[in-house]
Amino acid sequence: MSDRPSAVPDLVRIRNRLLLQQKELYVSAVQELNMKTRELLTNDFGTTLVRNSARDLAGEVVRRFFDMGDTYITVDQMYDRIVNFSYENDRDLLEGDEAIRKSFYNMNDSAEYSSTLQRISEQSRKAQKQLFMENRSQDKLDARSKRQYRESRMQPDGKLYDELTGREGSVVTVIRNGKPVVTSDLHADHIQARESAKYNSRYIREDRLDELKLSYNSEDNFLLMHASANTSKSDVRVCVIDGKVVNLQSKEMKSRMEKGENITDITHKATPSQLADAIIEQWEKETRSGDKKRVLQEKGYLDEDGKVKPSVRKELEARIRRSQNRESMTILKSTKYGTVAQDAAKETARSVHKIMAGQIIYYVLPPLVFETREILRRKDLTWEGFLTELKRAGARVVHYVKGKLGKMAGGVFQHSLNKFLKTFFDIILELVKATVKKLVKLVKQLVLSFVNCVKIIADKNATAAQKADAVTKTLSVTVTAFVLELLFEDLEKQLQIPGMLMEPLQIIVTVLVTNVIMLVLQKADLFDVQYGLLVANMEKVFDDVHSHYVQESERLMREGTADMDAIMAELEEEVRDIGESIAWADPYRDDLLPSVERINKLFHMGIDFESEWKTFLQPAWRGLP
Amino acid sequence: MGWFDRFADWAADKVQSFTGEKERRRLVAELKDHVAEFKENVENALAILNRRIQGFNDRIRELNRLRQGDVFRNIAVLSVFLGKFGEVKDAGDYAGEREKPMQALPERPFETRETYISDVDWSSDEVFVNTFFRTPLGMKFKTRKQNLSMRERLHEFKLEAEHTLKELETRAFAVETDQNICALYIECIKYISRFIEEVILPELELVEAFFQALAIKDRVIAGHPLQHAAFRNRNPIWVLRDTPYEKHYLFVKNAFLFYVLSCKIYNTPVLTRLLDHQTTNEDLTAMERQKEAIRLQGEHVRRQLIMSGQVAL
Repeated sequence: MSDRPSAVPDLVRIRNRLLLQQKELYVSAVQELNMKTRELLTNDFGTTLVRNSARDLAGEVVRRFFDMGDTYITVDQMYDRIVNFSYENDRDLLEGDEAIRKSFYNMNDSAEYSSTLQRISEQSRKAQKQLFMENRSQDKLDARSKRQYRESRMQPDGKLYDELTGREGSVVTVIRNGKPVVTSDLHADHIQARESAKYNSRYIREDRLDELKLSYNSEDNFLLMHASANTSKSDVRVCVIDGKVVNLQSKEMKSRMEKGENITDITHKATPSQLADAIIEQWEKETRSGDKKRVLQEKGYLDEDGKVKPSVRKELEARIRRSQNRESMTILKSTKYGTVAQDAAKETARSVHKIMAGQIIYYVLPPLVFETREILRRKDLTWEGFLTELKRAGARVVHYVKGKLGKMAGGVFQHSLNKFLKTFFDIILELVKATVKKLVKLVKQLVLSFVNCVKIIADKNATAAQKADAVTKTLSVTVTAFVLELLFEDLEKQLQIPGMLMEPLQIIVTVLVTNVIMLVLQKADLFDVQYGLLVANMEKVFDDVHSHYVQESERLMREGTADMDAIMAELEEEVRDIGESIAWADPYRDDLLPSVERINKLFHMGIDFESEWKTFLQPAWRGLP
Repeated sequence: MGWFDRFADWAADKVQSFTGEKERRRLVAELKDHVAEFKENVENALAILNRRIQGFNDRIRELNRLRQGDVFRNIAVLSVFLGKFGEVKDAGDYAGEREKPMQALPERPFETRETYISDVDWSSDEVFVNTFFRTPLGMKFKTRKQNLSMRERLHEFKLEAEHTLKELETRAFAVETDQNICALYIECIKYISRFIEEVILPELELVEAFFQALAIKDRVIAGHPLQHAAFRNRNPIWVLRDTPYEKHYLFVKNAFLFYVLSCKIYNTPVLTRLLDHQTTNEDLTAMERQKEAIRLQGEHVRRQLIMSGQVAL
């Protein structure tokens, strides 16, 4: 308000402004309501997918390659929480859909970067012992099993067939020790070589070793193949030299190892396809005479180009897989689960400090950063003020953390259990091979999912629908991931993608597919959880906008009426004053111009008294007698 | 009631909960209640507003009576008197101060609401046919969509109702202010009229006589015979300034000022013009500033929503 005395137009202006302001306020409230509601109703599938996937990827890359799985907090979660934390906006990222995705990713670690997996692998390597120590010629089981296998494959007409090519073997009668003996050019031999057979002395029960030996000499580990094929494959081993898989003859391997070369024999845990590759490499190798390849071509192993026929490779691989499965089943029956559990517990104990650190950082760091930021923001702070503020901030942080202690303890317990189960299964996975390995992997994921589901179901704060929703999502993601893993194994073989590219590719695809599934389930909203949330959010938006509108409108009204009342009082005072000045005036002595001028101004009448007076006293009148 | 009826009721209840039909019915009922309540509230607020307008109009009529009565009479007398001292302008034509029209219940908004309600209020036949052909799951999605849009409309409606009532309240307050302004104006006019009637008019003859005496004195001093002296109807008053007779000059001037003021009151609807005053540029700038502040705040809120990832989930 200016210094000049108020006039009626001032009052009218405030009156008009009040009406306009009310209207504007309403329009902006409607706009805000519409905007926020639209945002809630527009389910932007694409943006959410991209944003969540990008964040998950960032989290996954750091978790895997920096071996951060044990903290059970990912970088993106940490960042999000630190940046957005305030005591009012304390959104716990360890709950909800994001937690389901993250705990799912954390079921598997990188074999190359995880220290736990490295230790398991190293321990397993050290615990490897030769299964067959006795001399082969004195091993009655060996000779008897071979004979039995050959007899079992003999057709009623006495013929034998090569099990890799399906061709009939040729029979020659020779005189041995004066007796005619029928010999075949087909050999019955071990699929997984007896010489390379090893067992994990730490986890396999000693009393079950005979059972394991039996499984090596069972018909699942025998194969009828051509003599040349059998002899030429000889005793080949799968080795790792400088991180590369190389197939070596056992003699060559031993001599090179003796010379001090760093060679790791991984034959005992090689996959069926690795073993098949090793054998095929031997078959396709040139010999000086060239006889071997010629015979193998004749016998249907190699094609005209000297390469192993696909059908032979497929059959060989299938046989190896069957053999490994049989062995793995025996191993599963012979494992010292107590020792496995002990070792898993030891690994868990090793990780507990990381798990705890994760929880502490997650709950303590954000309020600390928040308080620091708040203090730094205040520029007017004196040294004394700073100290008081610091004390207050400290008290707030301590209060907040105290409130979260229960959650932290719960988190440590839950993650320790998860780590224990994960490691338990990882040790078993190190023992078994082929299809059994895949099945154990599935069991591992189901068990971990199941534990997560139990946690969800035990949550007192969630409704039945929310629980059902979370459990459905957890299980769907697990099952899909398993299917995905099978697909990937196939893809790796089909496209010959190198292993170093495989891991990143798998991370990317897993993250994307997981997010898509989560979003699809969210969209389908089978249990009305999203709908309920949406409705709750809509109501909240409305309540916020509505109360803000009412508050503002009332403030406008209050302020407007106060201003108007003040001016009104001033005007009344002015009118009374004018009234008095006129009432007491003497028309002969007092010039009443100031008084009428006040009325003129008060009501904006627009009269120019001076000029009116001049017109009244026209010049023509002057000087007249 | 047989077991079959009970089962049928139970099944219907389950299907209706699942498809969202129950929620839809609740929303429709809520909307109906709100519209009815709103109508009642608006009627009450309008009654208050109209009472205020009535009061204001009573005042305006009082004002107009005053202007056509006392003010007009004073103008007539003063005009004759002042005509003897200078060029008196005509009082001009009378222009009345305007009354405010009474406000009636706006029918149209209510009609649109009621049409909307009858649109969303599916009959049970419709619901049955829809559920049958669309299957409960299909119906669930249709009803859900409908329910969300109804919720949106309900929110908009509640806000609009709130605004309408607030506006009526503000208007009632504005009319009350106008009535107070009118009272002030009437008070001023009464001061003016009373002063003219009680102070100026009784003196007119005396002042006129003074000027006649002055003219006679002039003739006597000049040696003109008095028997031929006629009454002057044009008196030069400006010559009295700075003389012992200045008080008569001041009297005429004061009478003139009150005459001019009265003429303005009579021929111009001063109050109507004042109250019809439209919003000026200055007001609009202030409004723009407020709008901008609200917009910025909205922006801020939206950013917060995006940051916290609550959007589009």
